[in-house]
Amino acid sequence: MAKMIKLVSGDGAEFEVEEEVAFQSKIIKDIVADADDVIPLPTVSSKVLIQVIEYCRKHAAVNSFPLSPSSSAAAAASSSSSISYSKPVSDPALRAWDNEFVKLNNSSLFDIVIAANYLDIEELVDLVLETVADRIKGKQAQEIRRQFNIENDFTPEEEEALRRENSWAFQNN
Amino acid sequence: MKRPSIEVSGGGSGELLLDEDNNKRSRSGGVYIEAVAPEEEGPLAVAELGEDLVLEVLKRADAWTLGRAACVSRRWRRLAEDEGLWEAACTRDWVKVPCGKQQLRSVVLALGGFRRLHSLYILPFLAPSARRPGSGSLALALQPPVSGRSRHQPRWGKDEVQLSLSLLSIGFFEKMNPNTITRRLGGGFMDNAWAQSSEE
Repeated sequence: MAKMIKLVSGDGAEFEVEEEVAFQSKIIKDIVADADDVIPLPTVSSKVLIQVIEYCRKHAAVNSFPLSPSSSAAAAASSSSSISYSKPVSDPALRAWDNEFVKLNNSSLFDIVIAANYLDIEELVDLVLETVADRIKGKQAQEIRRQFNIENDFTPEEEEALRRENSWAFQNN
Repeated sequence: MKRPSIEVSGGGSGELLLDEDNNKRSRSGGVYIEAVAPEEEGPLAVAELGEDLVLEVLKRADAWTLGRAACVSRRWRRLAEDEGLWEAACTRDWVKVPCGKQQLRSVVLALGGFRRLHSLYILPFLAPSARRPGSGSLALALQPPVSGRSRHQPRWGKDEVQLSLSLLSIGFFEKMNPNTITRRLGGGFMDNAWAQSSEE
């Protein structure tokens, strides 16, 4: 029987998830080790937590331990549980799933990566960061500002000087 | 699993959205609501990524993106000019680093840094589209770009790397004060060179 962990979002919603799903987060794993099964996450909204749990559930099924009741043939076949930044997920089906998962607007993505960073879910952080990096590739500075909602705090002279210094970066290849 | 998507936010254009029921994707809007609402732009609910996360994003960016990122805002400029990022951007495409990483780092940083190395002694020698006028003959000597790499950046073999590093050294010494050289020939010459670089 799978052990259940209860996660409580910042706005008070409660989510019961299987232990192995919750353990995708290293933070949660450590907390539970101290024998605490109800974990409050005040900085994570329920909307974001739902998405994070969805990711964890999918990846737990793939990385699952032999004892887990939800292990499947797919899990046995692919065990991509080693974690290092910029290493792609080896299972192509999982990668395809990941790519679909990150088809969100920047606002949602940022919320997710902040939560995943807080919860220490390395693969999810990496996935979102790669996605964001891809989105700014080839974009002009103004576009990047819009995407991140950043204010341009350069004086016109500074901006002009910077553009000249980095003019090579603005040529469209 | 149906994902509740009721939040409205305008993060800007060029984003991908997924409607799980219809598999519809919209590139022009920044918003998806159940009842397709018009796109909303303007200063909105995009959470602020901390500096750490922005740095992590830039770690995964190529040199061109770093150059543009420096023009975004003061804070981004500081992050985008971080030598660590440029070290990665330079060495990423090197087949082999000529000496230990730590050694390379201390030498290059003393001679002006990776960003300088890239802008003066790597960029001019890249594929024709990234070339600056006046460096034509050298560009032809390099290997053609490996297919599939973003930005057509070639893999740099030992010779190209040595060339760039040598030019960086030469450039550095050319800038040095000639009086200093004649005064301190022999022992202490290198000490002075490093002192020069830190004064700049």
